[in-house]
Amino acid sequence: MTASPASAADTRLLATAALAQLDQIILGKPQQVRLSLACLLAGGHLLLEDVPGVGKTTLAQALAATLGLEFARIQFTSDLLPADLLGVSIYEPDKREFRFHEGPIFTQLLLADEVNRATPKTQSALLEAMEERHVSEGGVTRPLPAPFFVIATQNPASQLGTFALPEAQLDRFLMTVSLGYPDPRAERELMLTGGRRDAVRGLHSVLTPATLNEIHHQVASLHISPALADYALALVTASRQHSDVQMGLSPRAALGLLAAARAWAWLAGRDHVQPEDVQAVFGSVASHRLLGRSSGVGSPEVATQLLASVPIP
Amino acid sequence: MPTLTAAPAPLPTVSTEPLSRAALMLTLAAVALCVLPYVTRMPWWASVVTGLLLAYRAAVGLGRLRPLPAAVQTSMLALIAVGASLGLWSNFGTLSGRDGGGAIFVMLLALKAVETHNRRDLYVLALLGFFVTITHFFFAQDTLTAAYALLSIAALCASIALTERPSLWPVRADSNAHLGQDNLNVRSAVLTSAGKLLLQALPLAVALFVLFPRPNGPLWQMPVASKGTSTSGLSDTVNPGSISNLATSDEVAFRAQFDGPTPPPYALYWRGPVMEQFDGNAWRMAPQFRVAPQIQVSGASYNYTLTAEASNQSWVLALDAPTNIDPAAGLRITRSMQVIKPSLIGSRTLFKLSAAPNYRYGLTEDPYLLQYNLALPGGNPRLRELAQSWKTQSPLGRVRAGLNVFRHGGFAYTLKPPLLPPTNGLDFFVFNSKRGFCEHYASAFAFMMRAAGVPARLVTGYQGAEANGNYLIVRQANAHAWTEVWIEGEGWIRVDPTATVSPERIRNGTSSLPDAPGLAAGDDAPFQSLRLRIDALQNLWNTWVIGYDGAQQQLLFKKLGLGDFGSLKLVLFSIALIALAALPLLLRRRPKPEPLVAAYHLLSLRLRLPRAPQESAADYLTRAAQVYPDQAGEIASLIQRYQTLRYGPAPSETAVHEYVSAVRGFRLKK
Repeated sequence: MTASPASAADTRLLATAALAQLDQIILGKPQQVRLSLACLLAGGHLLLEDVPGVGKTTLAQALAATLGLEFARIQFTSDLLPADLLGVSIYEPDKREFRFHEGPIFTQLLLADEVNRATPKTQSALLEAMEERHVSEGGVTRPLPAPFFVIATQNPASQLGTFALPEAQLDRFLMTVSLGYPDPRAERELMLTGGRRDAVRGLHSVLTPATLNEIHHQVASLHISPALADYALALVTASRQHSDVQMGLSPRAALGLLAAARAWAWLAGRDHVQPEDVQAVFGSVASHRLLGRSSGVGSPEVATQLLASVPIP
Repeated sequence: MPTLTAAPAPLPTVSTEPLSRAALMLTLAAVALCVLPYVTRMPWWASVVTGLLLAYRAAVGLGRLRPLPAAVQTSMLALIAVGASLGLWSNFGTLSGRDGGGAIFVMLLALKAVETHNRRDLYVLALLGFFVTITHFFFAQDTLTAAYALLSIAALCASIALTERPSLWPVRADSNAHLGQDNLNVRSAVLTSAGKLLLQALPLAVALFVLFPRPNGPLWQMPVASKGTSTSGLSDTVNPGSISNLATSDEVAFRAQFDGPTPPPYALYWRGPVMEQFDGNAWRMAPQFRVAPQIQVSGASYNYTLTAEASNQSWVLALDAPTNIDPAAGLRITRSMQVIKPSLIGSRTLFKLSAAPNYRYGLTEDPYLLQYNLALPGGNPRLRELAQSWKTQSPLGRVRAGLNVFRHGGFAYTLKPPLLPPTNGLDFFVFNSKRGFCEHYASAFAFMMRAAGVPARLVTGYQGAEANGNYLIVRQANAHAWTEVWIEGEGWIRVDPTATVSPERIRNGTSSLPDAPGLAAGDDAPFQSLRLRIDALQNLWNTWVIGYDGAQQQLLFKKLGLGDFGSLKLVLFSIALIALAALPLLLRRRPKPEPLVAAYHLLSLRLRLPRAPQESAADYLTRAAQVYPDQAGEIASLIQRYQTLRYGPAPSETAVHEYVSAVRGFRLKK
């Protein structure tokens, strides 16, 4: 694949091809796959929330392979230390100095598996790196590779021995996507054709980091009309007034909402964002940020209610 | 995850938005405040059920209680409604009218509260609360009721403000550190909003109150409590011997405000029931004949307004002698100069009266009636013997002799007299105990006069008053009894034997005995002046709010220099004023809808397919395509063009115009 900057039509063609390739790996989940890709195209980190064995890791690996990104995976456990993630400086006697050994985070796409199993200390080390896109160690700041994405997974069903991510850290993830069980037809095909792990290994990259960079620029330049900004604002404001929500959407979430809507509109081949784009991504952007007052966990119902009650200007 | 399939969402409207919990709680609290006075007016079980229903809704709203399944809840509410109707019916005998109707209304309001699901329901609940607030005035019309109503209205306004703008009560995370402060701010924001609402309504309310044309009299008759509550005051029987301790109260009987100067205290005899039947112990009223008395007035007459408190009696305590009876109020005057209202005085009522303290009446009295006033049953031989010994004197001499018995006999005025024996009680009083209050003296004096051959009768009423500023307060403690004797050529003359025993009681107009309530006494002076001030406020309220009728209205216009204001002029003027108040509403600028949005709306009109404000263009297109499959392509193109123009980079004016004309050109195929 060419690494040279291409026109919007070309890049969109590439993105469509990438989507098609991903859909062949993750069967029967085109919306979720599209959302996940939109999240990365918007430059955001993705949180996959699901029970084990529905293809979270496969999706992450397929994304990395398709986007042509350097991939690293780290399994979060309760004894994982920040140094295990970020890297550590080790004294080398012959050179009489400390040398920094990069941790697994120095990659372009990091899959943080079961992020809620790690202690808050390690979680915050990861989340800080996600936000700042660099790692500070031993007084030296080391930039992370660009692009840098984190796909974290967490298992909502098992709460035993987990440390739930606090609201402030959940806010760092642009979107949450749940794959859910495949529909029977897709599952039957999965059984007939075997698991997807091998297929992932055989994938070739459709995009390159340079193309991805170009896409980022194109997505960010999509037009947002005042009427659409009003709509996003109305949604955010309504979320702050909703009676069953601990805390409404933050301004960061509002910007994230527009960024995700732009990526969605870009994937649809438009040069501007429409309310439908906002509606399509709103659930994924908002539901993990809107924690129920009584339940304490994010609920998609609130997002659905908001969409059903806020007028479109 | 939210469903991402593009299934057309149901079309919610603004009014069916989910409830704001704070607004629900505030509305429930305000409604509870409104119905609280009904606790004393309903059977106890009705209050309990009402309270439980409101508490149930509050608990469900707070999430403390799981709501019952819808079917169970509905059938339970239906059962409660039927049960309450039957219970109240058996209690009041009716479900209409002030008592029964009010009670069933309050219970139905509580049932409605349970069925509160959306914002519209909250508004309905608040409006019902306003209605309940009005009904309090069917029971009492004093300042306390008004203050309570104002409080209820403020609470209801606050709840409406919060329902309208839930943002006044922002939803916070668990930042407990600042929660207290925030709550305070929130509360003041809600109250400020409610206060603004009320203040904005105030000028219109005042204008309507002052200017709205009024009839010369009350619009409706206040019902008398269905179950007799005895109100202290005068009665139609006087039996002095049976009372050993006259319970005096400083409860207000009525107030009087004179247009000009106030008559001197010794002239303040407020006439109540006249007793002409004596059975040896007790005096009773004789059957009343509505024959106008012949009154000859000499000297000044006073015009005054009498504000009677609820007495559940029909006597109007007019000052002697009533000269000009307000015909509009339907008052009558009897032969014995009592002023009677045809119906009972069940609530505070105003009467416009006039009185002439110098008068003569009954100069040519019917001999049959005079005979009636000479009738004397047996008993009290000593007193009878004493009185009969005066028969040789002139009638006036006999009166003087009777008064001398009290003046020189070592009598004393007391509110705690000894009990008199059931037979020959007056003998015991005059010759043994010599202690009593006005009724003893009046009774014994009338007995003596009748025995001496002078027609005499007992008059009960009030004597004296307490001046407070420019009006008089007459309390139950001012209750008094005196005597009237008939003398040839003079007519009926008032003789007050109590005055010979306790002249200061008559002169001051109030009891000056140490054991009487110290109304005008010097002790407790600060407290007393406060009470008088509160009473002055009450009087102002009575005169200008409750008694504000057509006459009062004209009086106010005259005072304001508006002169004589005709009804028609008044109506026109009020309409103009109200229109003026509504002017800001009419002039309020509405943003002109953008041509694009207007065209999109026009499209929905052309399609005869209303669009919910929340509905996305894609959903709307799906619906429209289902309804009009033939024109789906054309509709899709119109809707997509709208989307591009509205949300795309700023469109050129010509593009917008083209779109508008394209929508205008759109027609549904038959």
